[in-house]
Amino acid sequence: IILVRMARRKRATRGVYSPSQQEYCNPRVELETQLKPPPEERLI
Amino acid sequence: PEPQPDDHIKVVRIEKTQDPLGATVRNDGEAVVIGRIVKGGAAERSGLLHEGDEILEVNGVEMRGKSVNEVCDILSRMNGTLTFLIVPTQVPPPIQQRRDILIHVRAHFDYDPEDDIYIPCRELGVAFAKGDVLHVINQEDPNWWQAHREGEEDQQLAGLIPSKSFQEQREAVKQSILGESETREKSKKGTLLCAKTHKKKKKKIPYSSAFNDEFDAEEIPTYEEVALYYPRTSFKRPVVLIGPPNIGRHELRQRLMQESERFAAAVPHTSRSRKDGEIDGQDYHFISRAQFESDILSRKFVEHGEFEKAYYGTSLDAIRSVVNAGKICVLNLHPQSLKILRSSDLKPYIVFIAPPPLERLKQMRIARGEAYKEEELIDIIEKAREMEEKYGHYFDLVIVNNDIERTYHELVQRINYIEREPQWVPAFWLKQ
Repeated sequence: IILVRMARRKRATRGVYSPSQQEYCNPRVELETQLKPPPEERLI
Repeated sequence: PEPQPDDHIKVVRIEKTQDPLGATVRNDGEAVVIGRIVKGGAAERSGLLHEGDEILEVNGVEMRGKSVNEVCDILSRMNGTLTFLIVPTQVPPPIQQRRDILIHVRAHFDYDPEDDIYIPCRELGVAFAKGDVLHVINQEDPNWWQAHREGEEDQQLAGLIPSKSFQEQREAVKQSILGESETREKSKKGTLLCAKTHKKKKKKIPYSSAFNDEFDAEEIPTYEEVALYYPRTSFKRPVVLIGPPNIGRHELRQRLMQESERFAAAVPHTSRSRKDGEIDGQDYHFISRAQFESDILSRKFVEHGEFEKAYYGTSLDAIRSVVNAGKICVLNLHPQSLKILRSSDLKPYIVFIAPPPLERLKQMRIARGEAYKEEELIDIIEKAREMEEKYGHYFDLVIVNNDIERTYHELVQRINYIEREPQWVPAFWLKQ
């Protein structure tokens, strides 16, 4: 059992490079793609 | 689009002082277009400019092709009579005063326009904090309301705040993203800690009101409509003390109740049998276990729990009978109980007793000659923070208990105050 667990742990830390995963974890990026900022208005 | 033929161009004259006219402009390709008309300005009063109008010239200065920043600079230097050459919007202007209903809301979140990339016009943004009252005077834009913050009504121009639906939408997006990353975190931890997590969950809570906790997750706190309540001598609002354990709530309650002419406790119910010397209806309302359970189901209790195989609870009716006796009911409750109490007709006044900073908390323990563990005090502060985050939008008052004497006096002063001065309360309380 210990060996299996060690193998799992190794797999967990040495996973496949996945840039989409990182992007997903960044709320700012996600929010901006879902809500678009409006055109800027200035007060006259 | 190309400029329209001459018969479509309108000449409009508006008097301008040093203050802005109270209209915004946005760029639409080469064009400079009116974005919105702000309540309280010369532009609104004149009724001559409309959202969507294109400004070709002002006092002979061509505007087409200029950025909104340049337009803003040029107009800020002009005053007196301004002559606008405009191409009126193709969209017919809405019927006047379509949605000019004044509503009052209490904000349940902090807002800083400087931090908001979505606000269309930053200079019009109104900053506010959780608990502030806002007077909403225009809801024509579904995403951005025009409003004044309470205490700033003397400002001529209204400002912009995110509308309820816009804020809900924004929070829903945020929460769905956070939620997903959280569950991912949890599943990672789960595989590493394995069996350990199961044991921790079985922590027992001795006294809880279990059934009314389901609302917290789905509600997105944005604004709550409020209305001005004028105190009546015939109706005393119950005072509810909320806060983490062991920072003085019980002492405060005891001290208030010493003024027995003015304050009283609600008589709790219990399913345990009556002991010698106890009087039914005075010490407790003694009822059977079956009766207690059916009362729980019919939501008669604000709070209930089990202790040594007997139920104990505080019912809405028990609070009501204190109110009917013309006294102020003082309650120490768990914040989970607030939802039931607030949706009743009892108009509770909710006071959060917050712990002071750690060092002060230590000093207070030492002064009372009590032993303490540092972890216990840190835990109290952490609990208070969590309560404030989760239930803060229910609090009418927060007192940091730096000194029990001062806290008591502040509390009494505030109770005196709400007996004479009008207060903002949830609007539905006054419609009941």
